[in-house]
Amino acid sequence: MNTDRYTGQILDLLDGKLSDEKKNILLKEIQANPELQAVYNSLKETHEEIASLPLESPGPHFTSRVMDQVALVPVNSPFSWQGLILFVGVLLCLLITMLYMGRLPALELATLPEEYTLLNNSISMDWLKQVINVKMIGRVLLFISFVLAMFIFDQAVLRPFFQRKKGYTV
Amino acid sequence: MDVDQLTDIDIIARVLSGEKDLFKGLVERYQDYVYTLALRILKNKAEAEEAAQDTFIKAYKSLALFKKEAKFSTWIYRIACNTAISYRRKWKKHENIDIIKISDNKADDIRDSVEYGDKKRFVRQAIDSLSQEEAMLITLFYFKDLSMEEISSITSLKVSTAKVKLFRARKKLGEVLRHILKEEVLNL
Repeated sequence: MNTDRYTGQILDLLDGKLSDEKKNILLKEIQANPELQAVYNSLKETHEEIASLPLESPGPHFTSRVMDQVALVPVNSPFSWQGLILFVGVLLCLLITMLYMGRLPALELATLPEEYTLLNNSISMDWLKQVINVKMIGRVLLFISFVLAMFIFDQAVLRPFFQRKKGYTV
Repeated sequence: MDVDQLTDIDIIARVLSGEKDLFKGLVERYQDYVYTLALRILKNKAEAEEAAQDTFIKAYKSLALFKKEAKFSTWIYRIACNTAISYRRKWKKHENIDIIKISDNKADDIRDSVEYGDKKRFVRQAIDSLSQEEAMLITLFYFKDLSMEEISSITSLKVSTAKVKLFRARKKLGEVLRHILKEEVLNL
């Protein structure tokens, strides 16, 4: 006889999860079948033995050893570096998005002024224009921000997520 | 006021406000549970004690991050499970040797247990024959006041998966016991 299908019911019976009606039906079946009775007895015995198994205790100086170590370590403050990094990351991403959505065309068109007035003296910017490429600087800054945002995303979201999955973290 | 009369949340609040020594109350309250859990996963007393100690230090360090609406027991068991599992990974090579040794002597150990009528020792050995996950689930299931939802949160398993794995573990334990009882009858 395949008793497998009864195992679940027997465990439910032992955990007190069966209704009175189902319990009576099952007990009658168990009484009528010696093989099922053997399964029931072994599961019941295992259940009772484990339930009555006392908790194990560590060595006698366990508490004092823990407290000695506790005395040496500070409690972490609720301030979380990860939270801060995440916050900065979100800000950075927003900034990039805003720049891309609204400011990028302006960046593309950005040029240095023809001349710059300092203390009532006009300074010609022609020479500076030849040296500085504003568009290129804008693009480089955008690229650096993107790389930074990816790094922060990895540190603050991906890494903690996979570490939690693997059970490494607290 | 006696520490025993304080709730876990009260102790945590007072530890965080500077009364470090009150953490002792939490250690004493949960050390047997944490140690039992670590022992069932690691199957080695020295390692289990080290893991249990580490669990409390980790909990202390992260006490400020504990959410007051959660149960401290569930939180500390989760730390204990994760710590024991990472210890097990660390000691994997040693563990393989131990497993071989245990398997070689298993039959003798079991016979001894039955002969001496020491059922509790036998049940402990039967639990040791389970995988770390099965042993962890069985141990948590028989800890008082833990629902399947809490067990699933401690073990990071889905409730349905935890139920299925627990069912298999209990069935396996039952089968081991039945097998031994048959052996006992044959040996009489």
